[in-house]
Amino acid sequence: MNTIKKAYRSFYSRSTILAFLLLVVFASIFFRDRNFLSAPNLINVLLKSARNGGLLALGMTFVILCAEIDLSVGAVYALSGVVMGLVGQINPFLGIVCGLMVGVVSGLLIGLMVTKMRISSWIASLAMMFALRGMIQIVARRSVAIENALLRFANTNFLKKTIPGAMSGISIMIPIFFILTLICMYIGRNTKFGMGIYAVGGNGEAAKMMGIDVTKIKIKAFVCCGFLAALSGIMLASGSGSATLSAGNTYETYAIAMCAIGGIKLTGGEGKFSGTFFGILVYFIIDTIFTYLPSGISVHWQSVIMGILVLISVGVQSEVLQNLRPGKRGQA
Amino acid sequence: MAEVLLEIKGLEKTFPGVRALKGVQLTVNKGEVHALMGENGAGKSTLIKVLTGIYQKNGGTIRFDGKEIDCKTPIEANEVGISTIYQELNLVLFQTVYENLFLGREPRTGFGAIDRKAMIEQTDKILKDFGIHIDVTKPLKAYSTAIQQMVAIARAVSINAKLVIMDEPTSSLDKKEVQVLFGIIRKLKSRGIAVIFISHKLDEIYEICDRMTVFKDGEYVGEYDIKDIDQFRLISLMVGKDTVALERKKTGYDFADASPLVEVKNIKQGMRLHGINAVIKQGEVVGLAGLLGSGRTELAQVLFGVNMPDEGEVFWMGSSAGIHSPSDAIKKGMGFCTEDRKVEGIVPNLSVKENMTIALLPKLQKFGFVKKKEQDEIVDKYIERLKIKTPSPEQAIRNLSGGNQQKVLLARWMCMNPKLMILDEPTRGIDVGAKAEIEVLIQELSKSGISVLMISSEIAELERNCDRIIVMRDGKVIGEVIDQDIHQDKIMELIAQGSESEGRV
Repeated sequence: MNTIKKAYRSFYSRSTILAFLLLVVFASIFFRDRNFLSAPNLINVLLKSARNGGLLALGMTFVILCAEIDLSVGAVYALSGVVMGLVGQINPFLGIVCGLMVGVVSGLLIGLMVTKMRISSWIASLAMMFALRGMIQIVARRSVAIENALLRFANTNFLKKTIPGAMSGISIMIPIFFILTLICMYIGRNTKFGMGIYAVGGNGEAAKMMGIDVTKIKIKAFVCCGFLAALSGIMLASGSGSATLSAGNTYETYAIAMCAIGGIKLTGGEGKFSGTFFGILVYFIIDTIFTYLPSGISVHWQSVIMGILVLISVGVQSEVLQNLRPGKRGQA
Repeated sequence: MAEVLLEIKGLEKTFPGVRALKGVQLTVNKGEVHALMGENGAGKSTLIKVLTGIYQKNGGTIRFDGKEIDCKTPIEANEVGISTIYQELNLVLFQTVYENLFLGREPRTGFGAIDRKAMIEQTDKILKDFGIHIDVTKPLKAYSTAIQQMVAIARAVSINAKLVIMDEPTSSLDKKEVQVLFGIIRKLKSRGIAVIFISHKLDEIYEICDRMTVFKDGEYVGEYDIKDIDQFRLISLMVGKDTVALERKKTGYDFADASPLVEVKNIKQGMRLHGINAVIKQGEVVGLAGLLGSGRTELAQVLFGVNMPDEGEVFWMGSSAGIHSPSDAIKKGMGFCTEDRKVEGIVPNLSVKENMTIALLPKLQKFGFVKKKEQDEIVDKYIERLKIKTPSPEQAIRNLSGGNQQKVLLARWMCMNPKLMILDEPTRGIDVGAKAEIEVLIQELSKSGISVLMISSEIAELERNCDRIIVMRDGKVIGEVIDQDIHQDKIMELIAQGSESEGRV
C-alpha cells in the first residue's frame, strides 16, 4: 500500500511533466509519418506558447497563487498592442512604455479594488475586462498598423536558413518567453515577495499575523500579472505588424486552464511557475495535435478534449485523491 | 519573590450591549506556567484578545516587562514579546517547515535573494534544541498537528517571545503528543519564558501549571497556587452557584419502566469520546453535565449523525439506528438545537417564517411548490404557543432578540413532531425571562412524550429541568444521578472525582 501511495505521490508532484512527456511520445508515434517531432513543428509549439497566451498564464500564476483571479488579461493583451501602435506613431519608445503601462495600471487598479475596497477579484477584474474592451473600441476604430522598426522588435528571428524546414528561424519571442519563465521561477522561489505570495494564498490570516503585508503582496501580484499580459500583447502586435482589436478574446480562460493543467491550485498557495510552464506546453501541444487531425471535426473536439484535460489535471489534485497521500497525520 | 512579567489591572472591555470584562486582573511571573480558568463566557478569550491587540480595551492598564503597553495589532504584540499559539494554527500548511519559521523575516544573501540554506540550518538547530528531529524541508502539512504546533511554538520563541499564550493547545493531541508538548513547555520555563495556558482538561492544568487565575462571567474570581486548590473547589469556583437558585421543579422519577428511545453502546470517536454508554427513555429529560471539552457536544453530534462513531453503535427504539447523516436523524424523529445559534442555527437574512419551516419544507410542498396556507397556519400556531415576540412572521430573524431566535429554532424542530429533542446550551446568551419560558417549554415537551437531551454548562439549569443527569469527563461517562440525588454539589463532586483514576483529586 505504501508503495502505491508513494508512486501516486510522485506522480502527483510531477503529473504535468509526465503529461507533457506522454503527449510528446504519443503524438510522435501517432503522427510519425508526418514528423511530429520535427524541428519546425516544435518551434511552432514554442512560438505559440510564447505568443498566444503563455505569458498570460505565467502572470495569472502570481494572482492565483494569492488565491485571487484576474479576468482582464485578455483585454490588457489587446489594448496594450493598440496603445503601443497609436502612441508609437508619435514616439516608438514612448509607445512601448505606454503599452506596458496599460498592464501595470490595470493591475494596480484591480489590486487596489481587491485590497482596499474589498471587492472580489472576480468582479473587480471582470469590470476591468469590460472597461478595457470598451477602451479598445474608443481609442481605435480598426486595427492599428505597426511599421516603425523599433516597434517591430519582436519580428526578429534567429538562425534563419539553418534549421531545415524552418527557414524563417526562431522568433525572439521564444527566448524571451524562456527568460521570463526563469525570472518568474526565481521570484517564486528566491524572493521575499515570492514567499509572501505563497503565504498569502496558503493562509491569509496566518500571513497577516506573521507580519506580512498582505495588501502589498496582492497588489504586486496583480501588477506582475498585468505587466506580463501587456508585454505579451505588445509582442503580438510587434511580431505581426498589426494590433487587432479583438486580440486575446477569451484568452483569460485559456490562461486559467493552463495554470490548472500546470498544477496551480485555484484555492491559492500551492503550485509552481515551472508547473505553469509545462501546463502551457501541454496546452499548445494538444492545440498543435488538432491541426494534424482531419479538418471538420477538430475545432469542436479540441474544446471538448481541453475541458476533459483540465478536469483530469485538477481532479488529480483534488482533496479526495489527496487524502490518499501519506502524511496527513504523520508520525510525531 | 518571583519577578512579575505581566500585570493587568482593572481591565474593561465592552461590546455593544455586553460587558465582557468587568475590571479583571491578572499577574503572570517570569518563567511560570499560568492557567486561565473559567467556563464559556468567563472572559478568558476576550482577555487574551485584548492582550494580543485583536480587541482594544475600554479601560484598565496592562504592564508588560516593566512598560505599560496597549497593542493595537497582533503584530505589535509580537514585537513587544507576546506570542499566541492559536487553536486553529496560524501557519501556512503548504509551505515547508523552515519557511513557516521564517516567514516575514527571511534572511537574505548578498544578492538580496532569500538565503534558504541559512533558513534550513537555523530551523534545524532551533527544532533540535526542542528535541524535535524532523525533515524541515517538507511541507508543514506532512506532519501531525502536534508537530505543527511545536513549529508554531518554535517560531514564537525564535522571535524572542517572553510570553507564549497557548489557547487549548492539547485539544487535538493524543496523550503521547501532550507529553511532548509539556516537555517543550518545561523547556520554555527553564529559559524564563512565561506561558499562559488555557485548557479545559483539569488533569493537564494540574500537571503543568504553577498558578491559575479563575474568571466567571467576565469577572475576576481569584488567583491561586495550584498546590492550594483541589479540583472540587476549582470546579465550584468556575461553575459557581446560581445566585438566583431557582427551585428544582421535579420530584419523583417516573421512567423506571419506560421503554428506551435511544441507546448508545460503547461509542468511541476520535480523541473526544472514549466508550460512551447511555440510554434515553421515552418522555425523559436527560441532562449531560461536564466541563467544556468533556465530550457532551460530540456525543450529541454522533447521535444526530453529524459525525460517525469510530466504534460502537446507536440503537433507536430497540433496533440499530443506521443514522449516517443529519437528514437520517431528522427522518427518525430527532431535532437538534445547536450550541452556536448564529453559525449552525439561524439563517440571519431569512424571515422568522422561513427559518421556522425550513426543515419542514420537504413535507410542506406539493410538486415543488410550498403549501403557503399550511405554512402560515403552522407558523402562526408556534408564534402564539411559544410566545415569540416578532412584529410579523415576515420579519428577518436577525432582528429578533437571542431568546426569541432560540424559540424560533425550537419551533423549527417542534413542528416536525420529533421524538427526541437535543438541546445544546439552549439558554446561552438569553435573558432571564426568555430563559424561564424556554424551561417551561422543555417540561411541556416532556409531558407530551417527547424525550429531551439537554446539554448545559450551568449545572443549576440541569438540576432544575432534568429527570436524570449523565455526568461526563474527558470523553467518558463517570456517573449518573437520578431524581432527588440531583444536586449541584453532588455533580461537581462527581466531576472532580473523575480524575481519581489518574491519581489526583
